[in-house]
Amino acid sequence: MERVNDRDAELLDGLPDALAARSPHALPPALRARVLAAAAARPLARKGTLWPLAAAAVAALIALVAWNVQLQQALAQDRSLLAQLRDAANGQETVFEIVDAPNTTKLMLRAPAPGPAAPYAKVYWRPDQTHVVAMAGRLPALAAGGTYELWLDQRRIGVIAPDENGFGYLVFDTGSRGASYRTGRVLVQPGGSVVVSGER
Amino acid sequence: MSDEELAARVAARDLEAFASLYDRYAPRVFAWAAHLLGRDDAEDATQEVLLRLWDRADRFDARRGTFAPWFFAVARHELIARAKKRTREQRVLATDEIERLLFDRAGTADTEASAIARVAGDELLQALGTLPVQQRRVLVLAYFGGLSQSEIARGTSTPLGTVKKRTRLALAKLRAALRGSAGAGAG
Repeated sequence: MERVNDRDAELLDGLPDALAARSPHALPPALRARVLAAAAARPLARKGTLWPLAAAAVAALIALVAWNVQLQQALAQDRSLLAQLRDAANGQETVFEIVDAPNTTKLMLRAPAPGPAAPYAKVYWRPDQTHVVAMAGRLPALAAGGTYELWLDQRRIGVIAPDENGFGYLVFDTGSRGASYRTGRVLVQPGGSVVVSGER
Repeated sequence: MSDEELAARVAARDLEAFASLYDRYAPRVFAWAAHLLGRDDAEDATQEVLLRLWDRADRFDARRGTFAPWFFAVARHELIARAKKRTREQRVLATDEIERLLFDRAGTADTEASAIARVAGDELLQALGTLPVQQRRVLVLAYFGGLSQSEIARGTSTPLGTVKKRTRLALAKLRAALRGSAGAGAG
């Protein structure tokens, strides 16, 4: 027994009475009115009325778990994409200066029907750099003659050529610093069907 | 009206019944709080304990026991939670002062002490008074100060094994003494 438990404490429950009889600290008379007023003003906290609170707490917990799962998936996706980029862009310092900087802006492009196997892409730029980096993952293999095109703000930027794993990237020079984009898409040509898209 | 009947009324939000229980129990809670936490914090602590009674009276089940142990468990948990914000040394000192107050005066034969002994906790104090001082001290430190056996060992510079032994012996002797006095009272 590390602490005196309630059962053992019961043996000693006469002590507060004995202490009160001997203590010089008398109960202040004004406290009675204050406690009674506080009790009267107390909101009802009955079992029944706690159900909405409990339900809200459970819902918040579920939302938190779901959000955490989503976050983990997004982080895993990021890690996987960056690892593939590291392999593919070996030696291109510019790519990492743009992707991995504190002032980088990122535009996420998602498939119309998201899922664990759905394609996705990301576009990165910095206000103090002229280069922009785009990379895409899980792009399905295309029929002969087909290409993936990156469009930013209704402007065709270039072609993303995926490897056998469906990963591809594109680095392009805008010619001036301060480039910024609001929307992005990756289309399949010919046909122009949208594979992934996104907006800031 | 018994404490248990009043508690049932408090559970039904009867403020008058709550006031009656306040009158019966608040002086004890306040004295405990004043010695353990200091007079400045005692009012706030007493109010909180009594409001817990108001909020939780529906959890008291008279079929499972009487009101006083239930209430003192509530009070003890609240007061000790507050006391834990103080250092172990402060809690030991405060509890030693309680022990001195309870047992130094109870042991005297003056008129006032005799009158007090008749008022409250007489049998319990007498039973505790028969224990060796160090055994009694561990019980008082644990009950009023909420100190664990490890904390008592450190706070009183006593080996933990000794504290455990004193606690075990003190509880056993106390139970025996109280059984004896109950038996004598019944006979």
